[in-house]
Amino acid sequence: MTHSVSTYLNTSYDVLRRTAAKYLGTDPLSFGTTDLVHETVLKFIQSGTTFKDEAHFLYSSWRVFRQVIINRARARTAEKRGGDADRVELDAAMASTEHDPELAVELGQLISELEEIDPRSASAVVMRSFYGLTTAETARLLGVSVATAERDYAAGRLWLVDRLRDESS
Amino acid sequence: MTRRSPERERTAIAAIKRLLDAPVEERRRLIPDLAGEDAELQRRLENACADDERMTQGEIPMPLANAFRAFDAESRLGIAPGDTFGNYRIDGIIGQGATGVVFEATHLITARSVALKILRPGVADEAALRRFRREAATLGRLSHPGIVSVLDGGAHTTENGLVHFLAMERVPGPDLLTYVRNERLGVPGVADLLIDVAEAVGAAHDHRIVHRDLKPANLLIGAAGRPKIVDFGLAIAEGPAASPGDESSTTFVGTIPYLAPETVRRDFVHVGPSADIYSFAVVAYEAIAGVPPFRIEGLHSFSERLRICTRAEPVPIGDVIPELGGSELEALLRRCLSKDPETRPNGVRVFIPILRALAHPVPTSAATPAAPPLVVASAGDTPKPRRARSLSAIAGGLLLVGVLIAAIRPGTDAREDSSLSTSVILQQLAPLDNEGVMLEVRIETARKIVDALRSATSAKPDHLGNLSLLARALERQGCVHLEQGRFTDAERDFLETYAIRKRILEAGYSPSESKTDLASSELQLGDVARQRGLLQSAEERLVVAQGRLEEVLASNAKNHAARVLYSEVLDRMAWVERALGHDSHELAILSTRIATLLPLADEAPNEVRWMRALTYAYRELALLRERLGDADGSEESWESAVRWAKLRIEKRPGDAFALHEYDETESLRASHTHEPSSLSLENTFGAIVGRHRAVAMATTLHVCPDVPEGERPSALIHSAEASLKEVLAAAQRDPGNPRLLEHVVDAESTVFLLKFDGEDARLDAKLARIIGLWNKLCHEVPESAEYRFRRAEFLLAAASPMTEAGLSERARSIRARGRTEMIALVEAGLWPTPAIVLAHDGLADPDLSTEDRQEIKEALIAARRHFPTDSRLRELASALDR
Repeated sequence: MTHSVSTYLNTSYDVLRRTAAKYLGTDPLSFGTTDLVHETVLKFIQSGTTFKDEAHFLYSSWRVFRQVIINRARARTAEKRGGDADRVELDAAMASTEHDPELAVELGQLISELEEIDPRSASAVVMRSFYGLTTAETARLLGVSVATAERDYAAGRLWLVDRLRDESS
Repeated sequence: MTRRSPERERTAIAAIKRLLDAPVEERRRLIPDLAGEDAELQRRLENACADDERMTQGEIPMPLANAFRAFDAESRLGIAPGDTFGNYRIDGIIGQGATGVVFEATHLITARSVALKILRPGVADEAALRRFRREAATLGRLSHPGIVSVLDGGAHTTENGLVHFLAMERVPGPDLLTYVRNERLGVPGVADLLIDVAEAVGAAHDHRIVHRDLKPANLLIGAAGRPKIVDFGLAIAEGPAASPGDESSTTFVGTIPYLAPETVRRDFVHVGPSADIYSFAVVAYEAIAGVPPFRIEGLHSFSERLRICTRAEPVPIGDVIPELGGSELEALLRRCLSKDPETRPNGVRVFIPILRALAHPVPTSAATPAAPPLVVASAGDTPKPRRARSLSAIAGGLLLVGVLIAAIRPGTDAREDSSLSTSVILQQLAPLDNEGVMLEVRIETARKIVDALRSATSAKPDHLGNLSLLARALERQGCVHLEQGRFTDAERDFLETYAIRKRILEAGYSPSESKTDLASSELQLGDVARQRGLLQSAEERLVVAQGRLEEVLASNAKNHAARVLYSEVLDRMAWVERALGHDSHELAILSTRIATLLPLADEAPNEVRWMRALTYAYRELALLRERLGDADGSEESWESAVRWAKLRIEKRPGDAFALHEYDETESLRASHTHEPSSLSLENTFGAIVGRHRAVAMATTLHVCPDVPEGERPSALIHSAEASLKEVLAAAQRDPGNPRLLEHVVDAESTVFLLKFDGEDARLDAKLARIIGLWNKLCHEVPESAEYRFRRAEFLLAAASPMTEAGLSERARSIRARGRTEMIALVEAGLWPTPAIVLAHDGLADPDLSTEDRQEIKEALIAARRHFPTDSRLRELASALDR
């Protein structure tokens, strides 16, 4: 059975708001932080997207955020490449400094790969790491036991570490 | 990123899960069973075991931590109140949405308060950027008192990359509804405001622009108490202007409950002016009635609110305000709030006659009701008076220019004399030298003064007094340009100054004064050349200035202005000769300089500047004599240097700089004459205040070989960091000032070099920041050979302690970068120092490869072609051969 977005909106609204605030780097209390949530939700409404359950809904919303971050990081990487040659060379010499926008893209893409091979692990990582939900909340949303939610989360993270290490070597 | 086979990854994660299901102590034993012959999987599972152990102890492995941090960092805008963004200072946040943030900001030059809309980097995909640009274009087309005007737009590079911005007229607000409530406007007052809104919406529609997001938050009350429409971020141009493939016209955005149903339904064919008419009707209804036409308050469910707003019928306004029952307004609102855009009226101006009738009710007419107060005033609550517009926002510098221009223009008493009041002009020029005034304000002020003087001189081209003032103003402007790092502009100013002064000299006006002025221009031109690294051309200029001043002094040896300038010219010449390695020239010049300074100091025994100049001149002389092998002469000069430094503290006992310079001179003397120094470093550092502290400390450390390494931390670092904070604050106050940026880089570098222990995890970030700052400085002052040289010097200096700490890989790449830059400077043939630094660094490099050695040798050969007489280059070349 599938549900439209409105089914989950009331329960998930706060979670989404908190997350939007986090991702937009803003004070959650300030005016307008809900705009991204509104936009996300309304996109779902208009496209008639339906969801299996609340976890699916939250996960889909996260995908929208993820795309925002990936776009931004890509734009920055492109700028770096297109910028002052001098600067690029020095940046390359100091590759491990500050934060690397390409790492953000990589993480986004790896989670999307994890989504394909083990959707539940991907969900667990997103719920815990990005929405900041507790193991108990995650377990309830995913409809699994606390132990399973914990293991899926740990497995997802270990897989990510392994792949990230691989990419960087 | 390399994509792996999903099958393989599925196996891997399943194996990881099975591993996790087992008790910790048994996991490693399970690996061979799980991985079988697959060596790669075996390795991955072993890693997983190790990582899991670390994670259960609360540690996040580096790759994951970095990736998460990067992801988080990408999500932040990186601009906060207090920061400077381009020409603006960010004062606060007005509002923010998914794609942008609107800041309250102040233009640094004009001090005008603006609303600065910034597009979030990354959301800035093509569509968003197009929408953003369209807003700028839309607003640019619309010039209407009821629509916010756009002032500036473009993109600015920040730490987070290129950020697009739009600066708009700042409308202080409050929004329309808040204002109506606060001011307790009755229906006539509200209707009067709504007329303006309807006119403005109508004007936009005349330009075939649909706002699409009309709501109270976008209708702000301006300083004059009239509403203005803001935020055209969602506006679309109708008709041919909107290309069919433009996704932004089909991307939903907007705000409930002011949004027309067709917009929510994504029925974009019908999102036209009638959508704005719908929104306007909702706003008008709420402004007049105090409640919106759809009852959604108390409904927390978003979807429920959405349903009501898009499906339910509006409550007739007559139900809220009985006097409006059956009125024309009620009927019009009902038509405008129709779900079907086709049945709404054609234009928003249809509201105007009806609103006008409400705004100016005819008392005898029974058709228009008397205005009821919309909000009942509570006891003791009195309406606030409207705030008068403040004029204090005008920059001080510009006010000053006003005074000046008034002084220049012929007065109302119709005097024909257009000569200028010299004292007024000189008074106006004085703040240009004040470092406390923001550089951009100073340059703006200089420009206005120069412009005003130019028009005055063009009115009376032969008035030598005016011309002389113009030359003076141009000279000040040139100095500010020089400070700004705009060498070409500075040179142009100085050349013009020179030409004017030459003309004055040829006209026979006060020859000695004119010659001194001309020499001053030559000195300035020499300074420009010097900072560009064109030392030989600087030398030529300075020699001409020197000769000219000698002429003046030959006719009158007591000419004070000429003597002062002469000592300055000699100071620069000594610098240039030193850099060029012309020891004998330097010796002659330094001796002459001291001979010029001594009588000046004698005549004004309380002027510390001569003491300072003498301290430095003797220091240079001491170092030079030491180089020339004259040990006794050197010692004698050191004593003189210390004596003058000491005299200065006696004259100015509380002067921390004087104290520092004394300490520094004394420690220099001690280290060069190999005599003990009784100075306590702690006193020195404790005494140094202000933005030069970190720099001073670095110098002192260089010259105090007795400072034990172990004593560097704590107090010193603490002091350096405090100094860094001060310079940062100064640089933030005057962000366009490269000299302040230079102080920041110096301070950061000092802290870096003091703190470095080879283990610090923040090392990379710090180093990247400093290199980034150097890049910025070199980028902003592209003509400065000195900055390029110092950047290269820093890269080499940063590499050395890294090599000691065993971080050879990174050190090598940093050193290589420094060398490449140094070699480029050597090849430019400006002055020999880059080659000397390069060779010294190469000799000290434990990793020096044969190729590196060859490269440095070639650079030295190139340098010797440019400076064949420099003995240092010769010695270094043979040292490298050994």
